[in-house]
Amino acid sequence: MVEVVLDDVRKTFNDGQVVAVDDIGLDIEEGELIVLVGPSGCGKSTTLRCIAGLETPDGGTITFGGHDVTDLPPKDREISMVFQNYALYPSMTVYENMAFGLKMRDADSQRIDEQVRWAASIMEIGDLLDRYPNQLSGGQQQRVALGRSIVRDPAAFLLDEPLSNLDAKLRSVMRTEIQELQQQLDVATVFVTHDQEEAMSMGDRIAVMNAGRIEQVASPEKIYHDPTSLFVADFIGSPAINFLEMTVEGGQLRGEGLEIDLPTGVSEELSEGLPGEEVVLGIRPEDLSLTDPGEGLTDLDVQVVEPMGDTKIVYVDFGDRRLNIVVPFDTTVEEDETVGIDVAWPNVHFFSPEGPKVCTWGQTTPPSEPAGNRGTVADGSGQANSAAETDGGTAGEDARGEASDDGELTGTGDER
Amino acid sequence: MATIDRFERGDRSLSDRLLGEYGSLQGILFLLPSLLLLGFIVLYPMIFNGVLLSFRQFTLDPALANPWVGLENYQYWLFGGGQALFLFSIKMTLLYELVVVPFDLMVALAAALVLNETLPARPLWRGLMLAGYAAPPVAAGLTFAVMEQAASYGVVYNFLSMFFSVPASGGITSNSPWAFWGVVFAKVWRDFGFMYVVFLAGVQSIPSELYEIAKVDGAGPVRRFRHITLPHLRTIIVTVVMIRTIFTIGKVEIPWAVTKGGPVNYTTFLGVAIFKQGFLNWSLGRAAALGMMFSLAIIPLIVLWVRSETEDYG
Repeated sequence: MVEVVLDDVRKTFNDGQVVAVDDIGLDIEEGELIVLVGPSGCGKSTTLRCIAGLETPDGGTITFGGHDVTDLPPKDREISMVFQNYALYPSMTVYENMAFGLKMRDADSQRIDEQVRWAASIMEIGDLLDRYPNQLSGGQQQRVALGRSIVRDPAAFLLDEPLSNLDAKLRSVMRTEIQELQQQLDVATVFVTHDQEEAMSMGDRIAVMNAGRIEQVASPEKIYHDPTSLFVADFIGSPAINFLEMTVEGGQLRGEGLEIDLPTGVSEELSEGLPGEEVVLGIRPEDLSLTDPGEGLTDLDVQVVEPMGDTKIVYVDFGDRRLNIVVPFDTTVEEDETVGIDVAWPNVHFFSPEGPKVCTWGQTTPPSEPAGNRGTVADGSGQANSAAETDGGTAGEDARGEASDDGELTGTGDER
Repeated sequence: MATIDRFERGDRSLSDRLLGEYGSLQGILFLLPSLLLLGFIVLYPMIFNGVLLSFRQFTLDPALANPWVGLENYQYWLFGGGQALFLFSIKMTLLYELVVVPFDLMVALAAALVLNETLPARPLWRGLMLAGYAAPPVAAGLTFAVMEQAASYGVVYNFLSMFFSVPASGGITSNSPWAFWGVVFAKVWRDFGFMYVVFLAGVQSIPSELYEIAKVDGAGPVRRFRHITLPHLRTIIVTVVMIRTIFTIGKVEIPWAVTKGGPVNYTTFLGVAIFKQGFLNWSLGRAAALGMMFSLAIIPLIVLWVRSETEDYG
């Protein structure tokens, strides 16, 4: 059991033309399961391969328990690895597959036998030991690959999209099994996946990667509720977060005919944090809710309703943006119906168009109470209505009126 | 229905049972065009120009009669004047096979393994490896014959003389143990491209993750070759060795171009012996008899090959 530390690790291909891993730093604590997640080509697998020693970094260091292993070959790192396609040796039985690593390290046959049978019992594959890989189902092969990886009592566990070849049901079973196994062995584990749901459900911490860099490392909850960049907000969460491009002028948000007054904390942080007037609002689908027409922030036409079982996803067009709204399954809503839309303002994130987050409505300094927020919206609307000359016109006026009338900013959808 | 058929099997006619066992009449009808074509281009010449010819004293001169001589041609090889050459030729052919096929295999496998690695200008090297296979066998043989002479242009001779004392007069091709090797070099250079291409395809189809996990498991290059590459190529190796063995026995062009079967009959392998008998001595009946015996001898090899093929896909 060791701590794995990556320090400024850089890996390029094609004589430096393609930067796969761009000076990343990452601490993986003892017994921690960290998930590297990101779209294809973001460098997550290359990072894992650098940790495994299958790629040699161009720069930076990798240490295991304080020892520099950057230039050590894979066999001297005492790691074990599981690949997406399991990579079982086709000419060997399950037993031989599992024994191979120990055999290559010249372990005596009694120890090999003990270890293989121990791992087989953990993975519940004791009755498959004499079979060949081509006689096993995908799930069984996966168990064998996992069993093989724990036989050697590794210092770190590296899993490269190990569940991608399995069907959805088996995948969720194996997720749990891998988590249990990892807790049982208490080994630093790096799990690579492109599937954000898998990342959310498995990781102690998640490292979201993009274009060779780590955008954010945090717990799944933190990543979801407090994304630090547009990319993280966009990548994590299904259905995807809604983005609205608006401008900040005179303490107000403006765009698509809306004018919304910002609380003091937010407007101060935005005026300091934004390069210009443009801002991108990030609103999770569950932070939007439906109201009766005329009672929300604005009225929009429902385009599509997708029943998901426990929820429904309602799609509405807002300007040239399509918004996803998650509502409870018993909400009565039809396609082509006109509905009011409301926003749980405290959960709204404000991003600079260049990517980094500037602030969250509910987390500004000094922190403002949710009720205060609501009040600010309502009051602010009134002020804007009477004072500033805006391009918002009638639509803006309507919207403000609705916002001020609406007592509840969250949960209005539930009431329908 | 199936169970009823099974119980009634005893009552059915032979043709019905054969059809039941091996397919339908329809299937045979589908096969008929290819069977006819094969019959015309393989069976007909084999029977009329092979089997029947071997029982005649046949020459090309239309003025001469080609009398039926029964088993005389076979007797000539087995017990008569041709016996010594026949036995010597079999011995040298076996030796030739035992040297050429493994040599071919090793060169091809080595080339495939090296060119599967990342190298500068790899496509160029991969293409160059096929130069031999693209060359006409006679041209390759003649070129080697030239390179095997004791002269400034005799690169093969000059290279070998650095390690061995090869007689200068006649070079490699006209001195007895060396001529054999002279043919072997030309043959392997000309032919290894076939095995090389097959092996390269085989090696490329091995998932790279297997090698990576083996590295993680601590296996060095030799063990990776032994435990991953070799098992993966096993069926391919069996198949190409069979094909090469069968197709090397009867080949004439390269031994003929390099040594003309000499010195004396030293490199007169079976194919060369048939060729010499037929087209140097114009004794086509005896050549046909030798060819027939040769055909019978390779049947077991063909059976083995077909069996290994069907095992894989059966």
